[in-house]
Amino acid sequence: MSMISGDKSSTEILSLKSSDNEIFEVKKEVVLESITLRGMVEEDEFSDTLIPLPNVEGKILSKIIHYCQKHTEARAKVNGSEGAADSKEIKDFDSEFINVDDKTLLGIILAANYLNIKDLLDLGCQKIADNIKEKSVEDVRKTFNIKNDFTPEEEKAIREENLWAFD
Amino acid sequence: MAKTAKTIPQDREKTGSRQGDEAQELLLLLQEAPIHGDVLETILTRLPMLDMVAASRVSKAWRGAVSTSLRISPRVKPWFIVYTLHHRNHSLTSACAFDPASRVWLRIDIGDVHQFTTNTIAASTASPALRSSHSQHLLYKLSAGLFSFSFDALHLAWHKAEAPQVWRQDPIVARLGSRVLVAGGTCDFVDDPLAVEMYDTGSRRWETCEPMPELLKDSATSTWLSTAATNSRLYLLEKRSRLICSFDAETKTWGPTFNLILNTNAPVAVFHSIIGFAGDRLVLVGLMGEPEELQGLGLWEVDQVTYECRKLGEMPPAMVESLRNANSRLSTPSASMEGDFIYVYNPSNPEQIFFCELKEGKCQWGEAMNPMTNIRSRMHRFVFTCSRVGMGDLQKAMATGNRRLTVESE
Repeated sequence: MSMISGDKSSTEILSLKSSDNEIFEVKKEVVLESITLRGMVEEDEFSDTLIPLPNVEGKILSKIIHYCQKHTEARAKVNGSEGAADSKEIKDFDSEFINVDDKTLLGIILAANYLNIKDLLDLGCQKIADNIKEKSVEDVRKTFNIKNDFTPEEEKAIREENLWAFD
Repeated sequence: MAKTAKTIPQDREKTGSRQGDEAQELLLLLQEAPIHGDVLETILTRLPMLDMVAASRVSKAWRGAVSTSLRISPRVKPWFIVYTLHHRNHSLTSACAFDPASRVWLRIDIGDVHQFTTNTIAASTASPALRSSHSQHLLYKLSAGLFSFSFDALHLAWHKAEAPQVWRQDPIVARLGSRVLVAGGTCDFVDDPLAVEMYDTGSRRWETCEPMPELLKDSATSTWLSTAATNSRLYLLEKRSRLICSFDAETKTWGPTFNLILNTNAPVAVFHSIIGFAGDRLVLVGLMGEPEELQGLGLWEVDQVTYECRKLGEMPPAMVESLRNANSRLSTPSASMEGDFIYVYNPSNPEQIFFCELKEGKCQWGEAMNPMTNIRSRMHRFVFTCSRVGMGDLQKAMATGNRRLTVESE
């Protein structure tokens, strides 16, 4: 049983277990980037420091941890010394980080939503929105595996009616 | 949510069997937990308006999410719309729009072209060509017998009214809410050059109002005066002298005239000004330097009570240079504004446009090149408006089949 004391918190290591039983050792401060995990850790639900994440598979969890590590480091730099936030560095990292295939992107978004990591969720959602832009309706369905549940009559009606009157 | 049969789509990549299994597992995961709810809404709030229409047709769940996301974040970046007319016969050649949210130009194919073109085959001396009022996105055609106008965002609905009593050329035409005002203009000796009439779209009747201030007697046309209007108030500014006055739609009377004073760094003076409403702000666009040599462009906010002018910002020098080069000696840059956007352009050549977005009082400048090549022809005249195009407008346009919007690629 480990004691979680204040001054040790920045170096304390926690373990995260993915849905496919991969275990990742992560610094506590990085884990706290996730609001969901922060809640779990602070409530001290876990007598040992292993946190199971049955909703996130290893491949995705690994990427998320990498993101959180990078952002934690960047924030430390700003709070620490002089100099403006390395926002260009972080922006470059973010755009490279999120430049993944649609399936990985979806995985990241779902995990970021579950783990409640706002910046990552925003980053992912913006990327998906950019991918959706100018896609046809059928392409969108294919990309996200969505079934068209409109009947032919309903589709016709949608084309003819004026549903939204946001003036 | 009912579980559908788990069909596994073809994996795009050529993979070995181990990777194939992983891909299949991931696809299964995605099918069981597709993006929906909060996540979907967050994604959709980031889509520009035109893509929302497609998104709303993907599935029932997406349709609901589009509706919610529009409530969370209504799209308020106004489009800049250009109607291209043939110089001689005033027929509508083409139309396009710039959407600043997605930074694309859209070609607009218009089904009911007759609304935009000349009424008569032989254009009379009083040519009923399409014009823009530069206020509240009003387009109109005024002839001796007919006054037709439109002021919805995509100009789908056209009102036809009888012409005002006083016949004039080149008057000020402005929309104040559900009323349209026609004032001044050049006319026959017997008619009053300062006559003002207001049309009410509800009662479909014209009413004569207090004539324009005497001081404007020699400049009471849309060539010399710039208009800015809200639902209840109209401002007229003499472009060269910066003489300003206001009209109240309720009392139907004119206020006193003032000379606007702009503090610029001497020696660069403002030689030409245009006004408009950007949201609730009365904004003045001031061209600095000389008519033959534009040296700068500034934006001021005009206090509607005291007429004090407060500088908001200036166009970056590199952009001023582009604007100067884009303009011929014969035409002065013009401006159209709506919401937080001020669009600046050359009225005889809208190939390149410039715009400023007012974000929390700060000016963010941008520019865009129009990829539509027929814009460059000398045979054309252009009419410009600026309006917030909402989901309802797009739905109406597409439902009636009167508009088709296509993104113009470079």
